[in-house]
Amino acid sequence: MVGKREDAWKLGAGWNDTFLWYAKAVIALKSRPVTDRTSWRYLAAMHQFDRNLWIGLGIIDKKTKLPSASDMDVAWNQCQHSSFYFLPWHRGYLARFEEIIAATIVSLGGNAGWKLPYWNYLDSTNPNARKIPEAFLLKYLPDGTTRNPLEDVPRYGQKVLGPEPRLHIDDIDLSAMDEPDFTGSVSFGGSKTLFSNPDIGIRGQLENVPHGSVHVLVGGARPANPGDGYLSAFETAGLDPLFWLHHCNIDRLWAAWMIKPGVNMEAGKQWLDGPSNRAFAVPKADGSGLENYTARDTLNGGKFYPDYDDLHAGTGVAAVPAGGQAAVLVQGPATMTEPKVIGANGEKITLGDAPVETAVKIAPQAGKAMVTAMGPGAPEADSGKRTFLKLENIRGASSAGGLKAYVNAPAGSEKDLPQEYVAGSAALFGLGSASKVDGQHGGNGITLIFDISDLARRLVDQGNFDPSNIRVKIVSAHGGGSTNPITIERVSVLRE
Amino acid sequence: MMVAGVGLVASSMLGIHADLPSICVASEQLSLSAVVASSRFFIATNPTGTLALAWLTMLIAMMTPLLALPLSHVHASSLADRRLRASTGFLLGYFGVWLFAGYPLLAVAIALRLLAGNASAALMTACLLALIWSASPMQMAAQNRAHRLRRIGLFGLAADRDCLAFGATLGGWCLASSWPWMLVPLFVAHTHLAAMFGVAIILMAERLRGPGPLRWRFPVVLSIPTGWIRETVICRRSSGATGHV
Ligand SMILES: [Cu+2]
Repeated sequence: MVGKREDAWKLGAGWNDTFLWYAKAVIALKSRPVTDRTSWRYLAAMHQFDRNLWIGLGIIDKKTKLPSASDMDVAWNQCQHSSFYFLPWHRGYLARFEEIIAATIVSLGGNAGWKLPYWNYLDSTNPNARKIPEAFLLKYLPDGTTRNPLEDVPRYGQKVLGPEPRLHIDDIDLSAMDEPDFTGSVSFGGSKTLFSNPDIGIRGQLENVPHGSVHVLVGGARPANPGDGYLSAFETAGLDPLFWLHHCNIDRLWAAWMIKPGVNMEAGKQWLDGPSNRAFAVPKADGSGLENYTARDTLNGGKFYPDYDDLHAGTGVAAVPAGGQAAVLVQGPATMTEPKVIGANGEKITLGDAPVETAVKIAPQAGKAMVTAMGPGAPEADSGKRTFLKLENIRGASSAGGLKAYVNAPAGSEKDLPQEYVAGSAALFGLGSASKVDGQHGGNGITLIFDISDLARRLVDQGNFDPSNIRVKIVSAHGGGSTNPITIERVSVLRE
Repeated sequence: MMVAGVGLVASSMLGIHADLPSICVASEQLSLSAVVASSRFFIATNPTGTLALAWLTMLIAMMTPLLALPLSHVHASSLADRRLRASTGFLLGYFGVWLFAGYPLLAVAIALRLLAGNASAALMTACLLALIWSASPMQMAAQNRAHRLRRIGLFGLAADRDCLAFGATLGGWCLASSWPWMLVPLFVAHTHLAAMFGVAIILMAERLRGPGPLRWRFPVVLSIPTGWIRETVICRRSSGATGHV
């Protein structure tokens, strides 16, 4: 191992060496046939593949020869989302991608040791942080004639990251970093699942924001943008060279979270050595075969453990003061007790262009206890308990979009719902893929959990909280609109 | 485990694997009336209660391991003091569908037995049928739908209805996905328990393979051995050696 992964914005403006060689390598990978395990398209299909979609987008044509069935069964369609495998699977995927790019650069006459840069969009000390690095926006390579493959992909969204009100996606932040547990229905890393999460899977907070948001904010989604870009869907995300820099930062946020004092890392066998029903696989760096890996290989000491130049800038994790104690990683029982459902709405929701309001009823005793716990004079142990709003099995046909939920917003504010009543917002990255019944993800859509502890406390203080009638307003914008709406099986309230 | 054990023992009471009554052997060709007559005879000589109980215990023994994830959905979706009631509703729906499916399945088994001529030919045919079904996109479609989650209400009769409906829907798709395999143990006489156990493992492996696009594929049962090999490679590799697929 030589060198470390660095901040993309610190490599120098425009065409620095790292990006120029990356661009040359991408051109080389793109020229390889899809049957080549080190080709651009093979690597993207490992995330998710849909033949008809790829033909429609001109990525392949009807006659394109695909890899053998056994290759596709083992290596393609692997992306792990809404699962505690999200971070380790992507880490191995990034590491091998980086090796393949580095080897290609050497074969093109460049230096050894190329490292994948990360897009540190939440670094508040860098005024450029939220901008897409320049090399990804230039039309040509420095020679002025070769088309720049880092730019030559459909992107319909933002060039500078920020909120997207037309999709109801709020600004990105680092709140996920405050989750103390790696695994769980409310967690940093996602819920415990099998490979590809066919049954019960809940997005980890990091996977929701900033991960999912950045995908859709940059890729763009209808109706806010003229199209859904490659970054907005599982099946095309890996075809955008920026995907790898985005995921590199997500991976670095995981590495940074690990050095936070008191976090509870997953240490179960199902996570370390799983999944039991299908193994993770990557091509060998020279493409001569495939190779399995597990989450264990992505941890310290493992073959896919990454090395970053910095884990503090843009991660919200404070640097250890000189002479201070390094954080000790705790691997024990979860900090938070698994929250239990205490209330739910009465029926499945169908959501088109117009906002939908649904009434959530909390079981009488639990509601009373909750209000008491939030009032003055409540026992210390109870007042710290967290409350959540859960949107279960959000399904829809459009590849992406966004959604936002409000609690007890005042009547008559439909046009301009006040931000202070927001329970949470989410980019619906991979919605179509996760909702497809006959696909790897089992058609159970996306399940989101928003922390509404502070909001609920404020509402109780204002006397605007009747546990038997909590009004949840949901707004959404997505490609399907009212003719092809989103459905939400259930809206529920959970409490620790 | 207890439930499964009791089920295994009780299900051996289901004597369809023994030679069918002579009326079957006599009929050279399959006709609807022969199937009906044989089924009637079979039911008449085996008390319905016993038959249903044996069928049900066999189902409980074989299917319970498949229900872990859906049951945890029911559990996690219900109020703490209603969890038992919710799970009961779900199981009633699930096994209710299977219980009613017993009669048509029995008729299919008897028809197969008549067609095949003898028990071992019937067994071979059932296995072949099950293998083809396992490889088919139709099975995949049913299997995919058996992973689908739906809302579970929290309060009153609506919650009970949701649990029953979730159980019944899941039971229906499970049935659609695995019916030929359920015929197999019926034609095995001496190693009935082993056959049931084997089929239960196959069904588990099919569920664990997870959902996927519809196409013809290698039946899971034939890929179980490769799966085991892969598993051992992973175990060995995590203790040092390098791994290959
Ligand atoms: Cu991603």
